[in-house]
Amino acid sequence: MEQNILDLFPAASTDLIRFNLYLSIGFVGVTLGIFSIILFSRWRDGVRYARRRKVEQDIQGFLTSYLFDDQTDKEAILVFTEQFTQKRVQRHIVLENLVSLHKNLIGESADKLRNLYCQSGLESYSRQKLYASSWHEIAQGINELANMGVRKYSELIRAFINHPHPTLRSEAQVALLKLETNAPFSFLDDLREPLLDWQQLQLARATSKSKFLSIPNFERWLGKSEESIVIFCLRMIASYGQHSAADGILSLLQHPAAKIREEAIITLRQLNTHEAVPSLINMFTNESTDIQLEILKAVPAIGDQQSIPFFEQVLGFENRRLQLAAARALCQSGQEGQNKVLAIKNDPEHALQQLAATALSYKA
Amino acid sequence: MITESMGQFISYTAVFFNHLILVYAIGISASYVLLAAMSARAMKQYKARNSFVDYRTILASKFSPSVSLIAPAYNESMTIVDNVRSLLALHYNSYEVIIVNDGSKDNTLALLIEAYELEKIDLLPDNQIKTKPVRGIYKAKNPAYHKLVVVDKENGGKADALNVGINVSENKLIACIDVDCVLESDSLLKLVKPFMEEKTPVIATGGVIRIANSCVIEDGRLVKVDVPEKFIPRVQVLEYFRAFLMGRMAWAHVNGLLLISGAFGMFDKATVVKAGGYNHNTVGEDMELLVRMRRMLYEEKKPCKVAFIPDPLCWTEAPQTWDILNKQRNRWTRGTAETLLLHRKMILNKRYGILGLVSLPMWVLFEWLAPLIEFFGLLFFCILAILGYANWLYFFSFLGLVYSFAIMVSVFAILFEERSYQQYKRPKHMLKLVFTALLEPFVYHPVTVWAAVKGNYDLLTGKKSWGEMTRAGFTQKKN
Repeated sequence: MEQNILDLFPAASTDLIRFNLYLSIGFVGVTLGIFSIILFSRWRDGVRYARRRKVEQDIQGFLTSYLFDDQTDKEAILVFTEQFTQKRVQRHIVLENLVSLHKNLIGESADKLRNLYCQSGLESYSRQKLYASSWHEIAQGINELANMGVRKYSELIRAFINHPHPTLRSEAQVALLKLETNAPFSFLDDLREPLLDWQQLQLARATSKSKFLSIPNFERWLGKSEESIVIFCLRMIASYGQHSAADGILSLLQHPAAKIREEAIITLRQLNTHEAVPSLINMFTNESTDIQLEILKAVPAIGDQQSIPFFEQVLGFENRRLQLAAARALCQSGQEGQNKVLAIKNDPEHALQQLAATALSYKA
Repeated sequence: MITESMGQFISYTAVFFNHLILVYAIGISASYVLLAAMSARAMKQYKARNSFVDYRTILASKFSPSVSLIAPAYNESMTIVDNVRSLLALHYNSYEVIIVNDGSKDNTLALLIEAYELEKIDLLPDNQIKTKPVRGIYKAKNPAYHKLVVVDKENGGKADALNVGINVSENKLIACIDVDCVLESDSLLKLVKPFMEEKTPVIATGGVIRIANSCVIEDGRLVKVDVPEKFIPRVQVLEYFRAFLMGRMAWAHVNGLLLISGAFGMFDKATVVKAGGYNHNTVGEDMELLVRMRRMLYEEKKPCKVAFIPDPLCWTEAPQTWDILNKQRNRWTRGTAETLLLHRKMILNKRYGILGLVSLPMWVLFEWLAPLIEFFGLLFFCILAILGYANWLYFFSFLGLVYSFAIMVSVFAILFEERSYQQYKRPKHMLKLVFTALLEPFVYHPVTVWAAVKGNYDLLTGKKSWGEMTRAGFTQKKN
């Protein structure tokens, strides 16, 4: 007699089939729902795009006439407030355009735009964002206020420099740098969170783009306990050629953190601090390979031919990376150093013949 | 003749397996739903964070890290010159391109020497990882190509070629790519960022790989995106959506990612070297390397992170014939199984955190074993049907359930693409993909299941080959 596997559990059989059926219908329903969302979102994106273009055209037309025609500010601001700042979506697009245009202007035009921003209520709209619960909205508010150069809220913004969200922290730091032109890096005194490489990059970029910034002496933060702040300051010292910080940097060669010692060596090389050579040679033996390699890059760049015996000594080490770096250092140490490497290259019996050839070709 | 007691035994066994399969199906479906939810959250966070990013900041900064781009080449004479040109034109301020000619039998090296005015130089690679001998290293005489280094070596396979590239590289970050991939011009900028923005050290980053079949490529650059005309690569578009946008994004969100695609990924060189570089003895060298790196750091109790970004960074040509697809999936199965077996010590071992307790067990259950369970389940059902023990009503209801779930997941993956980067802009494209999703479970899926079963068999019998991957080449723009 023919059987089937679920005949043993007739109740379960129908229940399972019903379960499968209902679930399948559910899945089909969800699939159709997702498909509808796809279609709807495509339609909505199209509508939003058309609306955005229309608002952008209008706002650009308005701003051109506002900046260059003889319309009085008061009239124009009234028209602007009524036409462009009443609806949320419109306000968002207007703010984007206004901020972007302001970034590219200086002088009277920039002041006029800032006046429009403040008088039309957009400034208070940006300020309100600072009290929002989402980090994203707060960051947007900070970004708008900073780019429009509204300085009066810098203390409010300062409260976010240690916020748990890194993007918000970064926006707050860059904003303070833009707004507090007399002491742009004063927030470093209060910073407790690490300054991530990405944030350092943003700060460096904002510094280089700002024309009115008074660059501080970064040596003053070299004693901070947060390593990333010290590393950032070392990089900035190198970027702005702050030779007066040499003593502070030299003291960092004894720092317990390897990363800081490594960055200090790089900075000394970039600053061409000749007096660092004896310290660098002294610390060589006790360092990790990575730091030793940095020393072998720094010493030939800032030293003179007196370091040649040191490089020759390293050539005798067993670590091939150090040997190659030492040979390269010799090549960079004038004719005498080059002749020594050349002699090794021309000696077919020498164990380092190929390494010498590599070092010479690197120089070429 | 089947006796009554034997029949009862078969029935009980069948019921047991039936329930087991049901539980397994619920488990795998729940994992998909969970991954999709996590991925949606991760994607939302990424887009919010990225709304403040101006990648030109990295481009212009002296603070940005230098990168070595390593591309192994084996018999690539058809496309090598164009591909290298596109690699040299990426938007990044400090990088070198290292092409490793892995003992090509054609004129790949000669073409490179001629096109880029290369000359042999005395350069001793830093042999931190053991490899097959290097025959020569070439650099361009023309300063316009100063970023290019070409290494000629004896044939040793992709893993060996990548290891040579790592030995020659000068920078702390390395990006390993397939030379026939087309990279987006800002791909390095985007891959570098996670290394700079995390408190926990990042050891690797990957991005979304896209299918380039039917797209138009001009001078090694993607100029027009289109949905593949052929069915097989079109299904792979859906597969890649599911794998990258829904899977890897979610795994990276909980720091449980085990695989950065070999087509394009960026690594911290020091960690790669310390882990011993790519393994020559597996065909899944990309997954194996990452698992080994993470295992090493877990054992050293050093926290690390593997990041993933949802931006489309790299376009690759997918197999477009059943035969090549079979070979590729066979290899992927062997690679996965080899890695899981090599690192079996980590599975369900709390010492390895989320990797040991969640990622690896899920890979075993839902990646490695899924096709085997499916295959043997079907085989078992066929036997039951022949013996007259099948409940056809239940079978069809279960089939309907699985089919409707599969379609739902695919359509959900399309929604992810729509709401993230919408590379396929025309409504026609989206409809084509939905139609493909309807056919996939019956036309395409059985082939990949069979390839996986065959891959497991080949693993048992000790097959090690990669399987020849013939490529049709990209669509070139007509002038």
